[in-house]
Amino acid sequence: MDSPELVADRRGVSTAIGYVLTLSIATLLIGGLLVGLGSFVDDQRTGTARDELRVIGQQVAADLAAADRLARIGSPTEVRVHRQLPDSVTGAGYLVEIDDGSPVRIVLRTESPEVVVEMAVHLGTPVGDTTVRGGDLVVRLDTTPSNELVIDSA
Amino acid sequence: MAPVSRDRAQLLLVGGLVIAVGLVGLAIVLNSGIYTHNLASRADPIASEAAGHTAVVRDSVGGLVEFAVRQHPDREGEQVHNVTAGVSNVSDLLAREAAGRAVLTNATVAATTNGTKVNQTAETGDRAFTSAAVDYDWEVVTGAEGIRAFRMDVRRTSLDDHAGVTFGDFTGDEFNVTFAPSSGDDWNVSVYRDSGTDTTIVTVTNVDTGRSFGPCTDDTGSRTEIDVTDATVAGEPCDALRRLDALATPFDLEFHNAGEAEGSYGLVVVDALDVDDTNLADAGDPGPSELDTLYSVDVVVRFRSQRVDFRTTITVAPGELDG
Repeated sequence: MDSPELVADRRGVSTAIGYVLTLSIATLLIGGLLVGLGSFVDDQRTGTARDELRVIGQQVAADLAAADRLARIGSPTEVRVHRQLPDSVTGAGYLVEIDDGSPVRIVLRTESPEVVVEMAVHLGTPVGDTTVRGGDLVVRLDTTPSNELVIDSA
Repeated sequence: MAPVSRDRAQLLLVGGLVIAVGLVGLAIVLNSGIYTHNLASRADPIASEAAGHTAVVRDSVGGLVEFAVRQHPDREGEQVHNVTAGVSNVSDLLAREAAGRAVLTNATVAATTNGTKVNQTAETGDRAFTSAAVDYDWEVVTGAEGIRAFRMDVRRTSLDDHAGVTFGDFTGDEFNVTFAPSSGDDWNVSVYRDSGTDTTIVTVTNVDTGRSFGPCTDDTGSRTEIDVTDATVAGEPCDALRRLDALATPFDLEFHNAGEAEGSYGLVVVDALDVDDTNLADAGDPGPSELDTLYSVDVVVRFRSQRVDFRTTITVAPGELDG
């Protein structure tokens, strides 16, 4: 840079070409970063949503088992087990489905990201087929006409 | 040259912003996961506390019933009065203790069931398990809907000797307690001894299938206490006696070869059934007699906590078969 000959020599150098090259390379880099980071965050979000739904499902199963245990003590007239659960997982709402059977199936699903988690629990008391929106829940014993566990939104 | 370097700085700024937004997104996702895992790992004993509370009430009221029956034999009114007052005290004590954990509890007597105690005491010494008329085979109770606190205390040397007899084979002379339901299988509880090993042996047999369970043995001392309804022999658990939990009701209770067992016994049955008075001795005479006795108490148990609302009615009959 100290040589005046070299500073003055601007042959083969175009401001436009330099500008375009710089922009292109930067766009490619940032685009790659966006795509890479975006899918990484999405993967993490899906994985976290699955973990969260699994935990929530286990808590619902624990409450069903607790209510089932209480429903078989003597002649119960009231059984209500409350549970505080998050309204959303990784920012998305979810549904809790209960399918009666042996074992009872608990299905939790979110639509964005699309994740479905299933688990099963063995109960001695019949359970009503129900679908409720995620959030605070209550498992209660419906004594008419016969004992049946029901899940409601609290 | 200066304008070009400024453009590069702007692009770096955009790149940094993108990374920052990504990191914020990741932080939100992680935070959500941490919150849920925190929920998952919280100690949560509340639901089982309700079941535990009910068990405590059951045990406490069971103790009250046994105490009242022991303190006021043959006076059902006083037994009921004492148990009702006792349940109120138990309820207050438990409620005070639970209040410290932000839990409300209550227990009240809803109903009581009268019963009859058939017993042969040890006051006049050991006597064979025969009826007052010295029948060796006799029916103690007819059409029992429930039985509790059936305990026998036998002197070993009075029992039929099975020395050299293979398990499952019977001499036909051993003392048998027979449970004969109106429908379902009959069950025999056989009590005999092996003089070779100086052991009392208790065997439970399904009369209809011929299958025997046990034996439960006792070789301590010279006497053996058999709690038929609590399924213990000399204080040790006897799984064979647990088979009686499957007994259908109503059932008749009979003693066979009652001359082959001497000692004392007692059992409590629900009142609305037939205890044949001709088999029983008058008060003060040796032999089996009957007493008015509280059979069971129905208790309403309430439990209310932040997470659990629970109300149930339990029947407390201490030492009853099947629970």
